Amino acid sequence: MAAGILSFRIGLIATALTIGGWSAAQGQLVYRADAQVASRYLWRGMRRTDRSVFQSDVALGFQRGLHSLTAGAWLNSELHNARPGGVSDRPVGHWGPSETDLWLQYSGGAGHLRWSAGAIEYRLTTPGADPRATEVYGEVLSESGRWIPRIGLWHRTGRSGATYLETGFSFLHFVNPFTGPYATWTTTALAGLQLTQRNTMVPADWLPAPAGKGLTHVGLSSIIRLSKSIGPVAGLVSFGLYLQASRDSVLRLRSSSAATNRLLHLWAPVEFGVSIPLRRPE
Amino acid sequence: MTARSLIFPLALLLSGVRCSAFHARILPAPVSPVLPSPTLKGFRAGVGRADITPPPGVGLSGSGPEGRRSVGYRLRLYARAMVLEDKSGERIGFVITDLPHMSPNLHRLVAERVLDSTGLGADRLILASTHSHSAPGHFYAERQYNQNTARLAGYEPRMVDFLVTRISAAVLQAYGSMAPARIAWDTTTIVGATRNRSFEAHCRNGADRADICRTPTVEYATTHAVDTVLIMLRVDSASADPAVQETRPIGALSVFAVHGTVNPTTNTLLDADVHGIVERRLEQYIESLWPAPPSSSRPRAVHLFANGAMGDASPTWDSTSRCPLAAPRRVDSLPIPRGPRGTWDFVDPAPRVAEACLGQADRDLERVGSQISQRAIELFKRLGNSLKDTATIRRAFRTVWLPGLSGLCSRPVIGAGAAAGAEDEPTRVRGWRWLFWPLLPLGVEEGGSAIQVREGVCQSPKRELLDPLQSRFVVGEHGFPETAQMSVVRIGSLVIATAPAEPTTVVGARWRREIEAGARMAGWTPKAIGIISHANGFLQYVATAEEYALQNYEGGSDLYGPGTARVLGEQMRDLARSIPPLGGGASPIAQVAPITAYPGAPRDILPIPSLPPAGARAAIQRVDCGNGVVTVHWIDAAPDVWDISRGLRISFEGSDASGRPVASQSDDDASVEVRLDGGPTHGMQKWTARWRKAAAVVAGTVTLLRGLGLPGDGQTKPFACK
Repeated sequence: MAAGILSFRIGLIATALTIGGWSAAQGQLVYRADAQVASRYLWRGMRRTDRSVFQSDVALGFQRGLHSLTAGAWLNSELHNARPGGVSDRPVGHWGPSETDLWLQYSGGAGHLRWSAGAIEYRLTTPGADPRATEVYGEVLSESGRWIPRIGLWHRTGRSGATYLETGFSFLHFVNPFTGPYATWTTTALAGLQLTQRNTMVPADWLPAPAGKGLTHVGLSSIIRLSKSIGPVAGLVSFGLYLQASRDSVLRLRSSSAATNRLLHLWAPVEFGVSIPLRRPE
Repeated sequence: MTARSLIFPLALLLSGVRCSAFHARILPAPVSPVLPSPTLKGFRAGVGRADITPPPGVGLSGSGPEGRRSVGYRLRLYARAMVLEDKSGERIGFVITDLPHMSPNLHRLVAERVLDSTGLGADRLILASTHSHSAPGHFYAERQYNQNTARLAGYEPRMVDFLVTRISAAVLQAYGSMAPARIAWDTTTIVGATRNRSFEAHCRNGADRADICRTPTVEYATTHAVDTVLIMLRVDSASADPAVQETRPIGALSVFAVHGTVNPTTNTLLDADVHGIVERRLEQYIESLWPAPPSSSRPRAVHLFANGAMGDASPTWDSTSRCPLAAPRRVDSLPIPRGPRGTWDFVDPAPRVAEACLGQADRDLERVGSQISQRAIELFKRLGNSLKDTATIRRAFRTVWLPGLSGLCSRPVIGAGAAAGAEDEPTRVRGWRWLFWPLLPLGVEEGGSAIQVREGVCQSPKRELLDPLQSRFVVGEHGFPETAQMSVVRIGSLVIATAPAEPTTVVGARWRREIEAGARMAGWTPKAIGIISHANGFLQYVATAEEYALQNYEGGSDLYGPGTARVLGEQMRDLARSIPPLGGGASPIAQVAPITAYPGAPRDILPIPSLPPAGARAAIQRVDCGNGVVTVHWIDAAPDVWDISRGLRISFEGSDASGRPVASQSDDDASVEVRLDGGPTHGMQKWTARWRKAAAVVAGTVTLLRGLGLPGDGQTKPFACK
């Protein structure tokens, strides 16, 4: 098994490097940056914080058609002091950065299929958490109309060895066919599964995840996203409803016990921010 | 929170985009002199023409969200004018433009511009479009059309000024060239060039079309379920001496029902479509009969090829000429694993896919254009035997205020079926039946869920697009047209009626019956009646009440409800009735009522060129030849509004293996495509012209006829083919 995983990783890296070399040779240099404020930070069905966060990313890569090789970083920073009894990645009474992720990703597509594969390193800044954990992942989705199925697999490297699968089905209610801003209304049903149980006794390879194996959460979101050019950037707003049933909706960084809460939550997530480069220029 | 309340923010968004300020402007109401001064010179006629090709970059209007931004041009766009005057001094001016639609914005402003010089007010000027979907918009008096007839939205006052100036020049040239003339008219039938794209709705008309609809062969039925009659009025200049019988042809006015949609929506070139082929072929034939010396200042012959009752009449293009439509795709500038989730938008198919479709469309253009041209030329020849100078002209004109007119709905509404696009010109959202199943039907299809029967509602059974948001948030007040300029003109025993709309085949037939009834009431009988659609304005489609009940694209686009065809038919009947019998009095007094334009906020769409560097020259850089295509790359200035329309810019001459000349073409031919390729860089632009169909050519020369305001005219470059 371990040998298989190792060859998988080697294969993935070799593929990424091959395609990356090809992209670098034939593609064009592209970049992207986003900054947004979100009403909460949800991750794989878990509440990382119940209060607003600032999230930003930068990415640089080579792109040719549907194929791209990207390296980037993503930052999450809590905007409120953590409260006793509240849900937060930060210590009580503190706010600020809680997670920085670095990644390398290849994305491609053919026909209606789009895929991506890469490696991502999570750097948790919370005191007490291990500073680093790495996953390799692959995602596939089909863009064949208004129904969009997707599936993704994330495998934690190191001795922990946990594998997480998430699958979803989205329906595009509306996509603005006219000129003007992007406007999409999407409803998504999704489910997360912990395929292999994470080894919580491996402190050097710690990463937030529900305990145990099996279905971790199911969710139904209905989100409207708007994006309009504002000068040289694009303004982004998204809002809607998110209904989730989960085994363990709260991440307990300090307690990696197998405590399980079967919880049903209804949220109204809101996000707003800016993005470059400019989108939909007409 | 209900699903309905969820779409409120969406409505706010759309309203922010759509409900720009009205920018209301009262258009002039130029009325012709009541009694033009008798000239006692006999029948006179003149023709004129003006190039109205705008610079690339404008939106190609007529296909809604599928209409691309233009990147170049192929068959240039023209305004062709013909002015006729009878012995009593009664005068009428026809102008047919290679534009997608017409607008009172152009009609009234052109009439104002030419009135003093020509006596042609709004009531004596018929300004129509061929309905090419490969031609620019941005000139409409109505905000919705400036916003939604192409991907590139906006009202461009410089486009209005450009078109009004150029169209006026064509009218003034026609008026200035008026000379003794003789005319003749007749009809011919063309079957196979067009087909009914809304056959099921067509067959709802019962007894009107029972014979066609029982036909078992679909191809036979659909190609006969259209108005297959081409009406042509031939005009020859004649000697002032009645004893001299010899005449020389100067042009023709034809009416034939066919959509200007042989080019698929994937096309990115400004182009006159099938009308451009038919116009040119007859003009070339006329010119071949009477070649003008190079130094001649006389206007070239013109063929005004007007559209008829073409609401449901498509050209018979091959289905492979239609490319896949834009489909929803993630449009992240760069896919990333963390960060905002992907935004979705409609993405066009790959360019190589479009190339294949456009190649087939090119062959269809030649086939359909040739078929119509051949019949038109045959008819033109035949008319040479019956030319007369005794015809009299009478016209009736009125401006009709539509909202609340008896029989019409109080406000214009677009149906969900219209958003689906026509069967042969679908939009990307065709088939989107539900916004949120099963609570919010969208109805973006022809028939089916586009039908919503509501007791006591005038627009029923039309499902209003984005109901209940359309009127309040999306369209707003005065977003759609509120007036219709209608006219009936009698020339001898021929009647030409005009409508600011796209009537279906059966609507056209019923209007002809109404006109005939009105004429009989007035004591005269027309021998043939042509309906010029897209004239003096644009109300979208007019379907019969029976067709409306099916809510296909045409019915869904009928803004004022199921009574529109009947009410406008009655208007035509009244206009015909107001025209006195032959030998009777003068034309009735025209009702040229004020019209207010609500075009929306102006936007810079036409290019504003940067100044080229001092000493810059237009220069041919290189010429490639291979696989039957000659491509020339040259640098030139970036075009201003007027530059492209000033005249031809590039020409090719080729010879075969034995050195004999085999062909020469310029940038006003269907086989030559001109594109803006890049820039501007330091005020200069890269241009490319491709001469296709040069298979027999092994060598030749390219000549840069004219730079865009830069020196470099006349330079040539030889080429040899691989």
